[in-house]
Amino acid sequence: MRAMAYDPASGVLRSRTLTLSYEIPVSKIARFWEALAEGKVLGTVCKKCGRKMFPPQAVCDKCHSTDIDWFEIKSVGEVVAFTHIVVRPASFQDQKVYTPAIAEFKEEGVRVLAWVAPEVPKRQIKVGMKVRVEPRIEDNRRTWVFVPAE
Amino acid sequence: MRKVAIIGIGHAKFGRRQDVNVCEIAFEAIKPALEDAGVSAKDIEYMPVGTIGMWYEEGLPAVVIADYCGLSGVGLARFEAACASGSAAFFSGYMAIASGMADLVLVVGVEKMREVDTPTAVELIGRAGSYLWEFENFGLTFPGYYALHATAHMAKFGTTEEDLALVAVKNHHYANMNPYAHLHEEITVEKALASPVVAWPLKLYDCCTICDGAAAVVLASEEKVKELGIDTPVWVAGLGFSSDSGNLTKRQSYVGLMATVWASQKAYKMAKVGPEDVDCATVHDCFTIAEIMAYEDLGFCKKGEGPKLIREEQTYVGGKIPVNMDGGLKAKGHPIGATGVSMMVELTRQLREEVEPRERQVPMKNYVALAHNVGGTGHYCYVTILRR
Repeated sequence: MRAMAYDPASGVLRSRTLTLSYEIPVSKIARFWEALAEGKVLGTVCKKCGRKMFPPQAVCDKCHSTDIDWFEIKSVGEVVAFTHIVVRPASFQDQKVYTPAIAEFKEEGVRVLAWVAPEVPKRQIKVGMKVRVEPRIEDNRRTWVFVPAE
Repeated sequence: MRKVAIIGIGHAKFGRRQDVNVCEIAFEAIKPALEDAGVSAKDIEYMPVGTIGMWYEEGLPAVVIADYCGLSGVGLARFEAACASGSAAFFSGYMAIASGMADLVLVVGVEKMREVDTPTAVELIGRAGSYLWEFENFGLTFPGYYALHATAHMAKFGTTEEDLALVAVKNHHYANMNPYAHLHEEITVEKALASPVVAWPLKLYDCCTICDGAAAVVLASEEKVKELGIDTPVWVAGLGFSSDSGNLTKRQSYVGLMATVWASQKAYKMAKVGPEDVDCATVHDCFTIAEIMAYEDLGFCKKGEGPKLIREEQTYVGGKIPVNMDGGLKAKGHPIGATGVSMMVELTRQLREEVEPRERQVPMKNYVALAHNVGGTGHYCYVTILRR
């Protein structure tokens, strides 16, 4: 039998349950998600003012132009910050410790946030580490990770 | 613009408060704030409420709190600026009086974070950033966000895990003397360093507590201060606000928060003071690295010299610039929406020189105090300068 919502022992009343999942529109940047399946990580560039953007967006955040092109992030970048996340959120409970990092890609003029690939030994990861970014498919989700450049 | 003063303060006990709901804990701050000001609920014209919600059941917290406390009928709004929600509400209250729209305002900050389990709370805070690009695939958490800053600061300036622990030791020391604080426990550097890793290099004792709490202040116009015969009004001398990109990838640097630099410059300019004039400060130490970056970004020391300031104990009472004498977010607790208002309560007590026990009271020279409240990792920032 289901427990009563009101629990006199703890002095709390358990509320009704709501499960939330959102349908996030990504059609304006569908090219980004398509390119991941082709092995490429893309950013956007404004054709009017030359502004480069990652994450990609369909409009220029500087001049508001909607004339946007795509470019591939394929050079060697450098890790500028990272962390190993041990205490994980509810929806990441099934993961092991993971390592988000920010890498700077000077050649393309953007910074990217991604996990350092889980197979990379944790001790190897440091600020200054040289990386490339590559697409992966994990749990039916298209994502991107950093792998050592050398 | 008219002058605005804090004339009443109230503070609930922070901590895991499963004995009260959101209205009941707000009442614990509202009642003493009104009594301290010598006014009643019917005198209040406007009540901005800083709270994020999500972790408690009410969808319109400002409305149910006003109803519970006999304030229905006043102007109401809920303010969200992540962890700076309390300061955003304070700013709105300030503007209502400065503009001449109101003479008496009650600013409330409140949060009930412990009605959900810890992984759920960690998730809800973690989603506060750029959900699609930082959470969906990468599960960033708030300790994780500040840990990114910590690794960058350590790589650039040689900041150590011991330096971070020193901040925790100080803030636990003062929280232990603050009856409203969540944690009453003196700690050592060794204990902090031995605590479990949350998001490397941040360990349990580098992190603020997820807790419940409420704080309230009554704001008044100069006319109302005279009419009520308030003997020690604390004036809002300066206020600065700022923000930075939602995506961390768009930031130029990770060793500080530009939003803090920009907001503090505005506040200093409006108050016509500099960092050297500040007698004491409450800074946004949601994580130990955040307090070190705040020392630097607020101009209490040069960039990269934050660790030196704490090593030399310059941010203790008696030091160059005492910081977080109430125990900070770190050990007093960080009930998100309550934090910004709680800072005003503490600084008002400091400026009135009524802090108990006296070991927590900062000796006042200029009677100038500064509150620094950050939302996210510098996604929002408010700096407020008070003067007696």
